[in-house]
Amino acid sequence: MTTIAIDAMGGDHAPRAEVEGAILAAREFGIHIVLVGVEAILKQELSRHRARHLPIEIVGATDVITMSDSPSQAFRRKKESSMHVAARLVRDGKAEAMVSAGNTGAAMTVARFVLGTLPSVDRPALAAAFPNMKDKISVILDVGANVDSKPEQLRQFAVMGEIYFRAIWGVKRPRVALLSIGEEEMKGNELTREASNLLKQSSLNFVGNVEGRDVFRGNVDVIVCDGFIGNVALKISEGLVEHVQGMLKKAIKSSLKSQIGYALSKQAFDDFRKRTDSSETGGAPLLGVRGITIIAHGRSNPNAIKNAIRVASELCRARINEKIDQELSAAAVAARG
Amino acid sequence: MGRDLAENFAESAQVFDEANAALGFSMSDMCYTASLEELKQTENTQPAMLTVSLAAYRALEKRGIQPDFVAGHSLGEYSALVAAGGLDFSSAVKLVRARGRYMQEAVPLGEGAMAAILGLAPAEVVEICKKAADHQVVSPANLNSPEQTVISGNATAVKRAVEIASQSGAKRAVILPVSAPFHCALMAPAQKRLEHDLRAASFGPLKIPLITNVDAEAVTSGDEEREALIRQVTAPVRWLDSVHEMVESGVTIFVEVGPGKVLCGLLRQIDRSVRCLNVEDAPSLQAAIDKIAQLRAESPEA
Repeated sequence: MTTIAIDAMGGDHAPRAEVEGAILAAREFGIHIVLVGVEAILKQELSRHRARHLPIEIVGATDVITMSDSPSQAFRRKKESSMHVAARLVRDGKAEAMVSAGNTGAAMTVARFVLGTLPSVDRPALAAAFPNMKDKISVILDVGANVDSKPEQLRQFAVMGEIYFRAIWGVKRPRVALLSIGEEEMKGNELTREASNLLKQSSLNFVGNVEGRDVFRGNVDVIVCDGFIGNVALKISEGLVEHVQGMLKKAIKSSLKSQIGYALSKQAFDDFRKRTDSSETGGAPLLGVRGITIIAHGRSNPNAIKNAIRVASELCRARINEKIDQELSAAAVAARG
Repeated sequence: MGRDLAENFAESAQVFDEANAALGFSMSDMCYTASLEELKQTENTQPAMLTVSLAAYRALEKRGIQPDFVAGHSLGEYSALVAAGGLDFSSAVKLVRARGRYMQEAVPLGEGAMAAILGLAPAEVVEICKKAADHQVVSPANLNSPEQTVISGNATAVKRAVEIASQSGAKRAVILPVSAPFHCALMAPAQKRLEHDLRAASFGPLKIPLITNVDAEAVTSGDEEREALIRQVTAPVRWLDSVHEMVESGVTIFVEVGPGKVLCGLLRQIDRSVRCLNVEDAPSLQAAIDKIAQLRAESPEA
């Protein structure tokens, strides 16, 4: 049975969302879960549910990394935090994956330095999956594990993203694209021009450069960009969804007529909410570290945690890290001649 | 890469100085500003790799870490040879720069290719290459691990082999982004040119047994190693067998010197019972020294 460690103290709604999500996942998927955090609090939270028969155990951690902690300081000073302890369980082979909805920067730092990167990986990348206009999933990476990246690193991101996409969505030859400011290769900056060249030479199904407006269109499966651009793109998208939802609410309340209209089309509105609900896709894997690491949104509700656990176990089953390392190491040694 | 070593250890800095003097341009500038992957041209990759590997090795040696065997993957065999005292570094760095150029010039761009075949046993890959050849060249180039073999040859033949491998149950078969088809018969022109240079170089006896890529057996004579390096240009790197040979000879700790830790990754695929440490900068050097001390304390024969 796959064992997954949950940083149970990290998220905005911790530990309630983490504990409930863990219970849902243990019940639905039969996954062995280790809840990591302050023992007394977790015991009490767990006792509110009928969970005694489920494969859930608690591992104590005395410290907690908060959302306001600086990632590097939290990494160095809070070695007994739930995040560190969860990562050490993975490092020591006691769990195959970790899930954290805590401070994203800290979670990435802890995962990268406690677990280490895969031998052939230069830098890890955070990959976000989202539903596109064709009702399918697209993946964008890196969405913030790095601020600056080099062309060769973008090539590695593309390889990792492609393997992730094949592993989870079963597409044989995912279409890989590079995010730029125009389809023509000459547009873009030095980084995208060089990365585009490398991707063209690779064996990936590279379909060329795409613009920001193509991200949601569903014509490509894996979108590669540097972490700075990726993070900005992700946050703008999330912000826009919130903004549109807010505008809709306001517009509906504005008159009796629109309230009646809302009542009649409630199903459509509910569908829309579900489609834009990030808790369905279940967290972003930090690809390239030794041991599966899923970074969930700080706002994660129990459903989001459950889905993050599901993705973690699917990546374990797919042996994604072996696949990434095999492919990148073959290229690295062959190129040395 | 390598800058941290040169700034912290005099013996590493000296390696860079020697490289600069031997090549007549600044290898330090090239290494300090770029990563191995960025040095795309193989005539740059090869001397850079050798320089950083030796810079790491000299620092390790100075701190009392003595290997019982040396080995290197492809170009890395030159690092192993210099470490074993069979060839001086200045000659080696010039040789590998020429080697890189000869290999690049042996085959017109686009005519050759390499591919990784994953998830099939090496023997199965050999059979697939035979089937795919059809009067062209395609053969195993790197026998890396039980599950990873890289093939090399004419681009069209490599493509055919990739297709056959995919149909024969390979987990994955992909063309690799390399500039030339290394370690196959197409490298014969490079072999001829390099042979001339290697025969002109002065090889001495090796103080540490070196496991060759071509035979996966230990040599200690400079003349034998010269022949092995000549054959290596057109022959496969038998890395899997080389590791087995060392493990069977009692090796339990491997130290990968130079940029990256790709060989540590391969080692984990080959044998999980042995340890692999990598040394590419000052922190990794210290970590390796500490780890070796700890492992030796736990098990004196390590």
